[in-house]
Amino acid sequence: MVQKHHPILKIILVIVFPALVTHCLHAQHFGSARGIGLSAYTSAVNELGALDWNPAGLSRARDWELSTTSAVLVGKGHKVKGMMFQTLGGTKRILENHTFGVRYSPGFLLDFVVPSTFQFANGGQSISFDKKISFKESYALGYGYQLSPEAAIGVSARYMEESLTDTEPFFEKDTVARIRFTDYFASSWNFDLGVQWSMNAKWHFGIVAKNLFRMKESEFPHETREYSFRPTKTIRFGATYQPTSVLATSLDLDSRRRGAAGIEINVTRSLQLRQGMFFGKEFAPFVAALASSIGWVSESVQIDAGFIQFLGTRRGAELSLQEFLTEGVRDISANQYMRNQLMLTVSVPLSVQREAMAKIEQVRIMSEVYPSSHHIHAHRPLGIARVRNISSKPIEARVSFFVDQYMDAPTETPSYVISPDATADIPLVAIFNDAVKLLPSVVLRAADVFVKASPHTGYDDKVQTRVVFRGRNDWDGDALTLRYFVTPDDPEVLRFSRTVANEHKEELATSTKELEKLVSARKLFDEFSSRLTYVRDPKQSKDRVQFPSETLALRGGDCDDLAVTYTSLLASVGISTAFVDVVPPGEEDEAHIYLMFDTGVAAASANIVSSNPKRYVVRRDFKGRETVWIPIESTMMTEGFERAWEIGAETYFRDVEAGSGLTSGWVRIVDVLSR
Amino acid sequence: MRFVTIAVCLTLLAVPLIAGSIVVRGIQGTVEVRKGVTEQWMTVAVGDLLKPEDTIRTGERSSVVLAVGTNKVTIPDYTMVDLHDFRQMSREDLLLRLATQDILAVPDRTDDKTVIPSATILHGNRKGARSASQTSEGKTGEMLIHGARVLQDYGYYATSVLRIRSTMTLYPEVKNDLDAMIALGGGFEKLNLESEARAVYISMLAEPLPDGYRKRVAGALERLKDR
Repeated sequence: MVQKHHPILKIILVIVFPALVTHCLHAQHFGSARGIGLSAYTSAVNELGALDWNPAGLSRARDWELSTTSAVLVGKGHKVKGMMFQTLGGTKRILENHTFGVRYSPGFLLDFVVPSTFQFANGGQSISFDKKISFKESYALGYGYQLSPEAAIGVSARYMEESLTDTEPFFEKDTVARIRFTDYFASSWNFDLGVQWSMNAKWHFGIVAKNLFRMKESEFPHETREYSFRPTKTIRFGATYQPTSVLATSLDLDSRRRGAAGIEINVTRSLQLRQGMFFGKEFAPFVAALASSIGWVSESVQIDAGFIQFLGTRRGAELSLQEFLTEGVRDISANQYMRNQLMLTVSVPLSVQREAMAKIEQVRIMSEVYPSSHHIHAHRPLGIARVRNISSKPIEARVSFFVDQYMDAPTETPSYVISPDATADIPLVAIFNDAVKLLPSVVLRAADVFVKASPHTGYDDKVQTRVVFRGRNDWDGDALTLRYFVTPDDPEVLRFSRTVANEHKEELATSTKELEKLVSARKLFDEFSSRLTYVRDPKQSKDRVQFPSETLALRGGDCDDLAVTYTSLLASVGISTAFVDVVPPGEEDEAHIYLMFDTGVAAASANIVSSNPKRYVVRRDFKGRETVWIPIESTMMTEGFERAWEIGAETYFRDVEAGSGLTSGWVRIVDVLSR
Repeated sequence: MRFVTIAVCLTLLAVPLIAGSIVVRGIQGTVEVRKGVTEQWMTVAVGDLLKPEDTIRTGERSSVVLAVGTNKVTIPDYTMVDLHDFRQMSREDLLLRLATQDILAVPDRTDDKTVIPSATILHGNRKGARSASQTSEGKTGEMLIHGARVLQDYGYYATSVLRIRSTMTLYPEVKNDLDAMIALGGGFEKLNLESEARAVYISMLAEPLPDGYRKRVAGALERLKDR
């Protein structure tokens, strides 16, 4: 409180007036012309106006954007001429999920004058003893936090300053009057808390608690407190329905039974039209105001112009003191003193980081990574990223995938064209390095998925997911991937096959050229089986397969291990092989795998392999050559080549010829190699 | 009463065991059977129980009578039949089996992006010289074609056409056998597979044919035109 004394006056005449209040300037809460047009902005706000409508909307604001709003009051009954500068502020995103907003708003101002009920006439002059009351909300701060791609929370604090200047006469020595100016100040921070949530691409919701907390720094003295700002706690709920990228409709309702509704139409990618209205039970008429706005958007600027027309009678320039004291100023951002006005908002993005055009909505990893077959993920998708175009024009999105330590560089998909607001499921492929082959057991690793939608550097969105890497010996049970355990180039495998070739050089040399492969295969089989010291239960460790070098070193394994090793040995001497994968219908537990190899003998000479066609299979290669293949049951490894062949042939006849397994699909032939 | 019940039960139990079997009812001359995937031929006696995976053959001036289910099948001389062929097949199964050659085909590895590079081939020093055994079974193809005709005689058209095709693949001596080709076309006709039958006949007309065969083939094609 400040007191000032003015010169001495003599009382000549006292004139008495009725008690009136005159309001001079109008506070405007519509710090955004887009907001004025849509009217129901609680769930849709995504710019600096979020400080008033819903602070959660800050999290959807563009990174590093400056925004300013000015207004012109239209019509009669106000004393403000010309354009009023209302707000200047900006938003800045930090660390992906955090957004801050700051606003300077000199236009958020409401002044009242309470003229004195009498004047002193001093000769030809009259002296008034008016009270001046002023409410200002010059500063606001806000913070928005993106909880998830769908949800955000935010808080804003608006700084309210109130001032009251009182002019009082007092008398000295009964005849000498003096006047005394007394200034009172009060200030407070008023906090709003808001949430926004997108249920899906079409439905968005928002809720805000206005004036939820108030932190007073100072207040008027008790005797003048009737002039104080009286904020009202209000809960406002909003919903936006966006059936297409062209159209959005919004509705707001609050705990004071007031509401707003609006519609926004994207006429073109750059042009937006909005129409809204404010309504409420406390208004007369029920629909208190209609609003319209037009917006133009480009990459470098956004300009919105809006107009609001109040339908009911507005408070005139004057009201009685009693009315003023009864109604008070409860909300500087919406009150009965507002006037029809035209607004202009200009927003300029300053960000070095461009605005995101694509968003990753979901990442689905569809399989685990098996080190033995890791290279298949260079072509076969490991997962899928669902990408949404969040811009207003078609984009070309590319998705990158990276797992630190197990990939040397991120992979990038080809471009996928996505229409505005549409989504695309983009398959993720990965090229892993040899580090995965060293994994002894299962591990979980974080993987980064990025989407890039424009030629600029950087990415539009990034999410992290997890990938399971299995141990080097793990197998997913699929015959298609069993072949990746076949390592004909392994030095141990080559050493073994060359040793056998040397040891049986003469025998191999005496065989006919046509039977050369069959003889080699028989020798490899016999040598390999003779060196085995143990064979595990064929059913054991179904999901684990030894690499051939391990089986050769350990001198044993189960049927899968032996099949893989024998296949590798055959392949190392240039013999083509295939796994026969049998999954009898309804008896999946009886599934088994055996192998067959190509003797290289032409079908027309098949009788040199066997006089019984049931002992072999004729297969045609892609060049049209038909050759004789021999089925081998690897579980018979210790019983010799002839027996393994016989059982293999019997099994093949039973499953394929008698059982029609191949044509019915429950027998598969998985080729491992051919030359 | 108890004895009758046990006898009926045993009979009923025996039916499924015998159902898939083939019984030798009569033999004339030399008749041999090859069990499953073995390579040895054994003499057959009347009353022997044969299995579907077995193969039977007759020598010169020999024949055998088999009880196949409720049918009595006579196999003439110089014929070889895979007993598994005495079965009826659905049209779908037949068409799938006709395509088996494609299903079984070895894919072109150049299309496989995940091919594993293979190692060097080890060669022996001596190559050439055909095996003596290669020619020892020179009549097998012919006998199998005879067997396919027997199958047709008894209504087993589907297995007969499959057998003729596989025999032509495995035995070059019957690859261009005109009687075998006519039998193949006839089999397809009986199975109402007109396009397959037509393809066989047209392929025959593409080669020089004796007049008798040319007339038969032309007649068959005329017949197919009306269908």
